[in-house]
Amino acid sequence: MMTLLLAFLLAAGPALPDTPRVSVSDLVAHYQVYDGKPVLTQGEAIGDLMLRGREGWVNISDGNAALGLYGTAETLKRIQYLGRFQSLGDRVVAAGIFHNACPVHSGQMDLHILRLEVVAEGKAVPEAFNFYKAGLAILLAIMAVGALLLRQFFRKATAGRPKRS
Amino acid sequence: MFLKPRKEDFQIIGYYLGKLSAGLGIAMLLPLAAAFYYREWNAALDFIVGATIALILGCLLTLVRPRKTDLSWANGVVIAGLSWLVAMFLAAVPLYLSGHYQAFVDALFETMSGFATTGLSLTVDLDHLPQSYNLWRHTTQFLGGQGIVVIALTFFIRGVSGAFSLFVGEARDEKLLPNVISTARFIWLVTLVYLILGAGTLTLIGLRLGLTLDRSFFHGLCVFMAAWDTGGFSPQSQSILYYHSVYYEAATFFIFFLGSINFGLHYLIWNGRRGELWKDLEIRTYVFTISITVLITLFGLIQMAGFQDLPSIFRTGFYQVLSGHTGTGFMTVTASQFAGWSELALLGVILAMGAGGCVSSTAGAIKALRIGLVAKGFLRQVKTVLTPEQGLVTEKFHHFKDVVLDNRQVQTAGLLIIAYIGLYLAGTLVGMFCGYPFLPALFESVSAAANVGHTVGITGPAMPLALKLTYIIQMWVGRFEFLAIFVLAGFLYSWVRGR
Repeated sequence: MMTLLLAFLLAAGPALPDTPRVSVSDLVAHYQVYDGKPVLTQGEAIGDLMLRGREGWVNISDGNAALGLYGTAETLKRIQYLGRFQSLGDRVVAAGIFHNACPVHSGQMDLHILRLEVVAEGKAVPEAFNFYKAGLAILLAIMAVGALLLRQFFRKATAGRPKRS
Repeated sequence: MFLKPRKEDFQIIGYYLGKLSAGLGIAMLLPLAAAFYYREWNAALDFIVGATIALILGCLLTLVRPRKTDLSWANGVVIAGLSWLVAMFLAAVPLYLSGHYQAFVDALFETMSGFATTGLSLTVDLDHLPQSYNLWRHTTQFLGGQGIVVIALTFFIRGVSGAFSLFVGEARDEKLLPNVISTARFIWLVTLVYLILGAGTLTLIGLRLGLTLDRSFFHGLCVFMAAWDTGGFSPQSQSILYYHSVYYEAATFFIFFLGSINFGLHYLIWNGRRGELWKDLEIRTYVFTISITVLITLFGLIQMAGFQDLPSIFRTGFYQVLSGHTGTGFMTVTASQFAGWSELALLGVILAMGAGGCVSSTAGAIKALRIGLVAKGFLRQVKTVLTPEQGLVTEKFHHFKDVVLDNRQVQTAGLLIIAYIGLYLAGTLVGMFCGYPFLPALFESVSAAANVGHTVGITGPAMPLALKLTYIIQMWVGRFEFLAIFVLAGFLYSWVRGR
């Protein structure tokens, strides 16, 4: 499937000869190898879509490492879901030029995207209510009230004791 | 001869630890409220569990009020040291229940890193962590940076003789106002003013960067707490690199730099004595060590291939060094990039981290005043050698007022510097025993012991248990500047062997 996708990207977008397919973790770990070169990577869009005029940023993660993608607002607007708590972000494939120390962005690591496709739409992932935890919380809350009452009782019972010098 | 602690000593220590436990339980109401606001129901349950355990412990330890609640010096310092251990365990409960930590020791690591304002993190999948847990992580940095005991002094402990021993036990020694409670309240006043200004500024910048209002405010609040208290936690796994913004970097830089300045100096500047900034030995030393370590790092970065222009080198190097020097640990490079820096550049950052910020601030490590005092002592020694035998050499320095340098000050500062270097090397040795090369092991050890939070990639859920425990101890000992730990060890020894 990835081969088909790569073929589609390369056919439909600007020419990226010999574009290696690299995971985000590999890009971040072996940045010297890919610095300044065209790469194709994929990951989950996380956090926030940071559109700033006609350009913008989004960060993608493969679960072990994250990388900033820089591109046009028009391209980035294709992302609908962002990975956060109870939300699985869109899985995107991005092709572009990877920079270990981007000359345009004062030395930051980033990927200037030439093409971006959403290959799997994200979704809401509602968390199931944990009844075991609820039971434990109620039990502990009762015990806390009991401890407070016990403390009050002890305080009253010992309040009148004569103090030693 | 050591005197065996009496039953009353244990009662008093237990009583105050109980008060602190209850206080921590109350502090958990903040993330609990956030959990309700963000509809994070399981997180809410975790905070109810955590808060009730803290309250139950607090009630049990304060069941019987001791006959005397006044604190002896040793008891105060022991309470300060133990309170952080108790806080570490209690605060870790909700985090562990979140399922984002592989083991309970990882959650303990996280909370010690939070309270000690270190910023090293073992959170798994931070980018999907519920907001309430994230708020709690940052709150631990805020509480730890302000000082758990300072908070207790402000809100829970009133009119107690010997309260200053609690204050000193927590590695604070400024007594800006006539009594320690007023001093603690002044620290809170300064913090609240900066909280409004700092979090507000970060929120506005966040909005300009494209974050929504609620996300921008949440990030602004969390990042402010981590910056002001020179903590270094961040809401996202990429630290400050996440925002891809020079404005965010500049704002965090100003906040963590202010946080690393002596609260005594804040007090004098607030009272119009701005000239202190240029005269103070500590500030002069701080500027000097910053300049030296920035220069070393920049030269190291210039030697490397990868950077194409000087502005990039300056922005990257300056931020990482200042973040390390102030003990913050915010990063705009990845851990693997750090690991790939030249040895000279890494040495610059290690020296910056090891030197640290100012005394009586939220920064950790050796601290500028002590370096300045030892340098002054060294200068006096050179002058003594060069002066005829009858001559008397006196050396003065300015720290809030003109002071004549005496041997005790130099000795104390020198001993603490030696102790810190020993702590840095001990962690390095454990790192090397675990199979890491010298330089990365030294980097990570200094980062933990100096309460910084920079990482070259050693710190992570997969690192060996021995190293996790070593870094927890280093963070605790480093934050307390040894005093509370030595007194605590003496207390335990006298309990076993005393008469």
